[in-house]
Amino acid sequence: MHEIEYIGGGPPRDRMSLGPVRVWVVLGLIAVAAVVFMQWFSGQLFGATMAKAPDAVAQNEDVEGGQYSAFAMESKAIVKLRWVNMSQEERDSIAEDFKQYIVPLAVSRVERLRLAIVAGELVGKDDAINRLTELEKELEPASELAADVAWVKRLYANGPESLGDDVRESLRDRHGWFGDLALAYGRPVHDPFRRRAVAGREHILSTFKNLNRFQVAMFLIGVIALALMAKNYAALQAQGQFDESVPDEHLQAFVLFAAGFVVILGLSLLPFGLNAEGSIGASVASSLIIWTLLLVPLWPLIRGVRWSEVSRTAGLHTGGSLPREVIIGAGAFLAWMPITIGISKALAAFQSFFGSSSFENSPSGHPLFQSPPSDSGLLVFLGVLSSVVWAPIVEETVFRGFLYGWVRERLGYVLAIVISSITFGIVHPYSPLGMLEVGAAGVMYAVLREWRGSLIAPMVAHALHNGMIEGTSFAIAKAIGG
Amino acid sequence: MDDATRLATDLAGVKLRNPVLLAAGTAGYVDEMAGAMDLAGVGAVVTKSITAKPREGNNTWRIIESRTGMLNAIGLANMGIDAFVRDQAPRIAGAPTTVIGSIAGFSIDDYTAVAAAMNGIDAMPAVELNVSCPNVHGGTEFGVDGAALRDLVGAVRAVLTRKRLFVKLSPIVVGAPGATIADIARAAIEGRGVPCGPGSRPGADGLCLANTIPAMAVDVHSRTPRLANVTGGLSGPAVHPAAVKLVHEVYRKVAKGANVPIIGIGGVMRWEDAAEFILVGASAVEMGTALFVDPRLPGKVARGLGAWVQRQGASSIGELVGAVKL
Repeated sequence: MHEIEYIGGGPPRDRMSLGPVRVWVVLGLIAVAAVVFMQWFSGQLFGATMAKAPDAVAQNEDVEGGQYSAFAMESKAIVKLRWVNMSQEERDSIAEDFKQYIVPLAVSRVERLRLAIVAGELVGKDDAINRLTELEKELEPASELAADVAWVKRLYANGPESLGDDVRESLRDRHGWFGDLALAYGRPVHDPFRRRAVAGREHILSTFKNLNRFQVAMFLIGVIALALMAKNYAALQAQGQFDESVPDEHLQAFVLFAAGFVVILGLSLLPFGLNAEGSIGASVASSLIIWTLLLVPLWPLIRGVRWSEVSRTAGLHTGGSLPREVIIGAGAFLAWMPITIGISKALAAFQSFFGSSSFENSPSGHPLFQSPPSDSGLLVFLGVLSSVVWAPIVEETVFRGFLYGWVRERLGYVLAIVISSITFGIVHPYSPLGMLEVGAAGVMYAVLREWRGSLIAPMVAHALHNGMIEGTSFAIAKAIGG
Repeated sequence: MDDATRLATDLAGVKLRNPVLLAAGTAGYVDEMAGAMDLAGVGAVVTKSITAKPREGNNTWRIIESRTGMLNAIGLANMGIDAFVRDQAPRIAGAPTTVIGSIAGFSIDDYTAVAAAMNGIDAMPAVELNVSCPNVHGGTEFGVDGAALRDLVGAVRAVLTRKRLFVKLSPIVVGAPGATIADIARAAIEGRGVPCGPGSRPGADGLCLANTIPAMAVDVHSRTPRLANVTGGLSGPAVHPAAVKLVHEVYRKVAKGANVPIIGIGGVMRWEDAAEFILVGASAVEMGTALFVDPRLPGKVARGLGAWVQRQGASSIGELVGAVKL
């Protein structure tokens, strides 16, 4: 028999112990460290694909999709936003930007063909022809991609008129915007065909302008919401009750969540080495498998803790009035806007002060957090679902429910807020600055939990926040890629 | 489901109404057969082979009948590519069916000159390359020499940027290792040219199997050859089983794997003959000698094929290509 110790005291229960609590604390730390490691490792793997991709990725000749890949978005942005409105002197310098930002993103053979098209536009037809000649050596002469390469090469050598109508149609069919761009090569600025490929600057800029206006509006609304909440703080009586002892099963549930997350992250790396179809299938599978983490709250029940005890101590209740908690969650989301906007502006200023590109630190393209829009409708749907439904429910339950409750009883609410927010921040696979942003949001959700007791308000605020991010990235992707 | 859907045929991107074509040299330049038959009932007409310069052809007799078919030694009589482009090409767009060009020559330059001119004829989606001509530089036919054929196809492909390219092979090849019909077929479809469109290939886009078989007939009374040219090409029912075997071999060894369509040519007189070609791997057939018997036969063959596809329970004739049970 092990000797049983209780860090925070509390009466021994009639359940059989699963080992001393410090073992579970250590296990929790290990699990969180493992999550962080897996995030870092997959980031390395994704980063590595840019420089030296696995063969299956590099040799991919599948033209389906790819219109919203990092490579495609960057290419469209640089051509539509900058190239069209540049003076000749500015154009001379763009070849450097092209090499630095666009070239490393083109990995698959299809992307390298498309890269040559972008090169034809930004650098010149000789560069395009050289890239195509290099690519040609790797291809089976009778493959469809080899035909595309040969046609595009002829296009740069002899002009778009040297291609037959069916060839043009096929290039546009197979390569979308890149096909348009190739066929617009050398045409005059106001040619409608050329405008179709390179126009869009005004649309993108107006989208950004509208997003800015939206942000300003949200800021102002947020200030009002903040004032209203402060004014009615007393009336919105606090529900938080933390006088009950919190069972160790809550800590165990958190450890199980972290361990399960590590396993799922590992599974989500399996798509590497699969073809495009397989990797979409695997991404779909991993976006589905994360839903099994909804089962985590079952753990205390399996261990014999009564549901009434679990729901009270983990905040899994409606706090007396569901509509009121929902409104408070929405109000908190709005009231938090001035702060989150301020934080992101400060971080952006910090970033630009150190001269790093905003692209390098944007959230990684991890399939678990697949941001819309991708080319697969199913993946977009599952991505939005996991961001707007799964994350608020599971993350709030685990971080603000089980972990917060357990830590708070033993270390007090200040450390509970700090510890749950740090943990919440570091398991998000973003850059260090992105983790800071997420951690700050974690503080807000933890404060809501402390104030309300119920998890409804933090869940609603979390869902609204994620929904806004998804909507924003949709708008930007559509403006650049559409 | 009607015959139009059942018989619709796609030859490397060339869409045809049905898989029955009129063979080169038997149906005039464009639509001269329109008075004798309903051209709208055939998939395509292949024009007379066109050479770089006008040709009178051989002396008569140039066509004679044999017991099992026909011998011809026309000698590629034609108006030459310049006159063809000037006088015949404008009629192609108005023809009631697809028109496929045919090129003959005696050197690579001959072929490329005609190919370059045909490349500019918009209404013509494809050309057939007649390679059963002696190469004046090498002495042998292009069609029996893999290396020469590869060079020829490569040179033609380079100027033929907007037309599908079908190569009509000779039936008589050496048959030694490295020079079998499969090797010749491979030489025709290989190559590092530029495909001319979706479904096209860097070499030939399709194979036509096969040309006539070299043959000779003698008048025993006068003890003179019956053809002025002494020898000619045998066509008709006599060559049909031999052509079926060639299609079978090329389909199994080359075309199926490379996804290259075959046009079966040789003695198709009835729909059953065409169906045989389809079953061993041809996507379409050409008819020639039959036209001299009854110009309405191609239409009958097409209708017979439509009924056959239906009886076989297939939704399109494409499902029966290569469907012979071995």
